[in-house]
Amino acid sequence: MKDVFEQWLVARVSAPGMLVCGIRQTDGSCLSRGANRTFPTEQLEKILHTFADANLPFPTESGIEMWSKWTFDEGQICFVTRPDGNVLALVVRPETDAAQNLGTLAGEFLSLAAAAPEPA
Amino acid sequence: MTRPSKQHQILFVDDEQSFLETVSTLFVDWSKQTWKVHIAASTDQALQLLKEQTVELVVVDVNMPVLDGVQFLRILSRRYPDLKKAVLTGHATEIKRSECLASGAELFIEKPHSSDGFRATFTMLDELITWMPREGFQGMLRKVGLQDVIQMECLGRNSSVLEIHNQQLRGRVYIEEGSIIHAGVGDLSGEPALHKLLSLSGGSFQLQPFEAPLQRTIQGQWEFLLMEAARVRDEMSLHSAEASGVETGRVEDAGADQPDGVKVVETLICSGTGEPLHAWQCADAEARVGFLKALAALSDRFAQELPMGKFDRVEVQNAGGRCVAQVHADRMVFVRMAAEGIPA
Repeated sequence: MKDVFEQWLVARVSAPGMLVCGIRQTDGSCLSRGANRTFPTEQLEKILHTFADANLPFPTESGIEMWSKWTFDEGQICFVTRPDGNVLALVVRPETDAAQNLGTLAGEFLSLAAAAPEPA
Repeated sequence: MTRPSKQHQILFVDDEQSFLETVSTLFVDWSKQTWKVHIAASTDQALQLLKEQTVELVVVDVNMPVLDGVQFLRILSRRYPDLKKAVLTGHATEIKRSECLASGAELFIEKPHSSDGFRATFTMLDELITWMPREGFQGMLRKVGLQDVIQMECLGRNSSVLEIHNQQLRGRVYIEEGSIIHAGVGDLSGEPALHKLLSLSGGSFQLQPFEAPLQRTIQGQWEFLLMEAARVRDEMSLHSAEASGVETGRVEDAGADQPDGVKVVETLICSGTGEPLHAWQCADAEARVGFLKALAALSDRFAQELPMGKFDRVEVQNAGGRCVAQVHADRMVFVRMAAEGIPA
């Protein structure tokens, strides 16, 4: 699954408006790609861990898949949690192509399938 | 000299008579008679001439008395959408440039003062007059309904991308061989996005050549999709009318991006310190305040890691529903809505 995630992040990090993106895998390790020096991947990984560990009791009724968008003055973070526990974080500039397509990107991440077998 | 069979019709509008005379002489000569230059010393004269004569390119001075170039460009764009427009000015500023380009000018050039400058200006205008716009057309929603355009594309079994935008949003509808295959606007995609776009009361659209979307989120016959969109739009109008009272629990400023017509099922407004000010169908206000405070703390930690400025709000969605929580120093707002489906 790692390869599939890697490929997906590499393909999406260059979208106009994308600042940094990463995935926290179920074993706690992170994959990340950055497109802007002001938004280091290390900081995004900290955010991913903070988000996952906070385990906020989001008050929507049910469902394992979850999508949340955090809007700041100069950036947006979109978290997407898959049923298998992998968590995606996308940091984008507001009002850019990437910001307009967060729903599409979330949908892509949720539908990513294991294209290659796990390394032994 | 033999006159070419087809001459490009170009109109120069400038209150400086000597400039008009110079360009008439030079540009006709340099074009080897492929240009027919018309001149107008005022916007009134220009509009009169445009009624009598088909013109392909209008070159406007931006600083003119009575009606300035920017206003004139807007009028031209409305009345003659196919007309190419260029601006020549002796006072080029970045603001004027932006205004002119936004008002429909394809070129913004500083007035030449030398022979080389006139030659360069001629070359640019000649390029513009022979330049063919990319395939597609533009229109205004006030004049042609979006639904009509989609219907025409589907009936013609065309493939195209309809780009729609207004001041708040920008979206796309993908049509392939007469079938609507994808729509996206903001965080919405699929049928909810199509419904949102078709519910707009105003804006602009452009029909662009087809390009494959990253995903296909819509299936089904276009006739049913458009009928369903019309039904949803009518329902939304009804909801909007009903939602004018407090009893409905609708909070207009709580979630600026919330899709129209989504049913609000719970609302809590409290002070910046968490004191409840207004609660509607909120069974456990204390828990909600705790949630809002947790959000505030978490957003602070995110902002410490990455330079994103002040936190405004979080929107959460899953199969069970959607909520918007806004956390400001002086107030906190929580709104929960009935399930509308996760963005696909």
